[in-house]
Amino acid sequence: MPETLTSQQFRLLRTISFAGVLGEPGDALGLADCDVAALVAELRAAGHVEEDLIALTDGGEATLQTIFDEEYARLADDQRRVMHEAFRPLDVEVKRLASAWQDSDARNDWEGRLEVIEGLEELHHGLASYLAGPAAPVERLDEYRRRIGAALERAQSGELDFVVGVSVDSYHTAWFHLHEDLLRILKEQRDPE
Amino acid sequence: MTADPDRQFIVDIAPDAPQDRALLGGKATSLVLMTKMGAPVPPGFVLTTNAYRAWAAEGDRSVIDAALDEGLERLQNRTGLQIGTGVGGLVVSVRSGSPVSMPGMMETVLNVGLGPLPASGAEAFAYDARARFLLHFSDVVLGLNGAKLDSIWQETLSRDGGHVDPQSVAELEASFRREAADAGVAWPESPDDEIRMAANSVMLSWESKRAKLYRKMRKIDDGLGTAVTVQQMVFGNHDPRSGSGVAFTRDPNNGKLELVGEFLAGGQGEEIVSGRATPQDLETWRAAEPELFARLDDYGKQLESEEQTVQEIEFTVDAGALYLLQSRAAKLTIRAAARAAVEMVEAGTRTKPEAVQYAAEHGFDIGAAASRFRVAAGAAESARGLAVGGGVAAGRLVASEARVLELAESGPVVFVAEETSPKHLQAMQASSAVVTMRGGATSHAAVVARELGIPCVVGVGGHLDGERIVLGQDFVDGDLITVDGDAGALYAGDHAELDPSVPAEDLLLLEWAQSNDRSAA
Repeated sequence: MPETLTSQQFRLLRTISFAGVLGEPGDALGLADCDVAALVAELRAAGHVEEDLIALTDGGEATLQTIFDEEYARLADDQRRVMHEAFRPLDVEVKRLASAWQDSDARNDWEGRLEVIEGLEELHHGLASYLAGPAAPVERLDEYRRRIGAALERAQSGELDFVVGVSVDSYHTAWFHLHEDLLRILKEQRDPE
Repeated sequence: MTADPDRQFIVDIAPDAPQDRALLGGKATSLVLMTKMGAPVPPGFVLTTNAYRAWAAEGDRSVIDAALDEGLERLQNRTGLQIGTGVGGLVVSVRSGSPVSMPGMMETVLNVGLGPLPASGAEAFAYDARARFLLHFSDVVLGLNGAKLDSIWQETLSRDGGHVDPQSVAELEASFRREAADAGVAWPESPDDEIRMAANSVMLSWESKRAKLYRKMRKIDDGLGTAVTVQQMVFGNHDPRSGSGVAFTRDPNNGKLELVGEFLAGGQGEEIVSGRATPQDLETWRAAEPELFARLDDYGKQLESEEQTVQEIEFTVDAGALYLLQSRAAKLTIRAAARAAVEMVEAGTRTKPEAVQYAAEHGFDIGAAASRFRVAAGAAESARGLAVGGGVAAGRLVASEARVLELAESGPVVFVAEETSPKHLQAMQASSAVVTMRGGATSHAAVVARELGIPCVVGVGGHLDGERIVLGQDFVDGDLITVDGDAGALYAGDHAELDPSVPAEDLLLLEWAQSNDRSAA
């Protein structure tokens, strides 16, 4: 590792990189439990974050890439393959459900929405098994279970923006951060659809 | 009648009953309205939501059983028929009825109270009704293994001329009874038991996991509870002049004012709903039964006028006699809702703000109606991909997130990427349309663009090559491009023009919505 980053700094670096630009710091991307302002200041001082907005500098992206490369070199090829392949059906399902949700929305179809929420709940069990099984070698990924689970709970309670909404840390948004994280860990490209 | 209105557990379905959805549920309230109109409704009574709440809070079945006995006693007196005397006696349906619509979540049990039939002597359709009851009751009320029941059903029932033979119904009953014993579930020992167990099952369905989740999602009070409607059965499977149907007071696809729907000759209502049988359209039935059709049409018009919403009516014809079983607000397409809303204003049954609200409840998007563009005639298509929707927009084509944010200050921008991920969100939010070279209808770009309500075409192919953006033809950063998200097509240049063919009802709704906003401001 080129330098020592705390786990919280690493986490924020990842989140900023996946989000491109961090808007209002806060709980929007599952960061409610950390002092985002202080961490941004630290990362800025180290030259990883731009001065005028919360986006990574080229140096910040390079540092992040180095950490990913070094941290996950320990994964065996078999582990990578299983992590990648076991994620694929879950990813197909989340996309199907997101699309079904939007179709239901367009028709204002509550039964359809209910089916999607039930599907997301089912998928969440699948995700938990995935994180405890094939993805267990990267323990920190469990943070996505909490993040996606929180979105599910909000959606079930009637905050429907938490399914695919873009202005909150929705199921869809958090899922795509997980997907992005996996692609970086596994050095894979997205699957063509 | 008891003095405490909270202890009012039984209400007869009759013209003098209160039209109180909270007490009777939606289904029975519509039945009360029908009786007021003089429409033919089979006699029945309602176990009210008060009864449900007492049952849920006190856990005391005896209160409910006593209320149910009282209701049945009154129903037997009204009809002059007795429960448990076969098909010539009183046979009932036991239906849920919640104050709010909970589609597909609550139970209904038909053909209840027949009891075991004699080996011969009953009318042929009675055996058919009994067999249907046994299957549904064992599945829904007793909770026995559905796949197992189905396989027993297939093995046991032999049908002759559309009717099941009495012997095989007796065998079916014996087999299901054994299944229940094996599962440790009590089998109803009398027709009264059948009714009590069915009513109990309906009330329990309010507490199902699915129903609870639905209410949580919609922020519906768990304490509302369900009513249970017990109503004399009419038999759509009675004879050749019988059947069941569903009718809409306007076409649910386009909103045209005409009675449309389906009719299943010789069938019971649940077969239409389940899709197990193929019904005929209502026009065909009309040719066979013009008088019944005319009466149904007339009741439909009255119901729509009373309820001020397009109605979906369940009806049954029993030996040539028409009965209305339910009427509720119909599910409509956006187009149908917009047309119906405008026509109701023209007919004077709705105000303009109510019409706007009605259309919006069915998904009509005022904002989209306000800015409907189309591609000008003669524009040459440069590339085609998968249509995600969102209409038509034109803007300057840009492939970098930073350039999007810069150029969007001075005019519309079309963002193009090989594919998108969360890091492109800001760029997409600032864009008027999105194009991707890879990805399908459920890709990140498609979902986010639909969420943002902007035109999007995905999977166009092409590539980025230094300064060149290859999308069927070469573009460079800042070139004008038109995106038709509905057709999945791209055009070089700005060819977006206001669509003069926007339906007249959309323009009216838009005008009414804007005048609402002005008067509210």
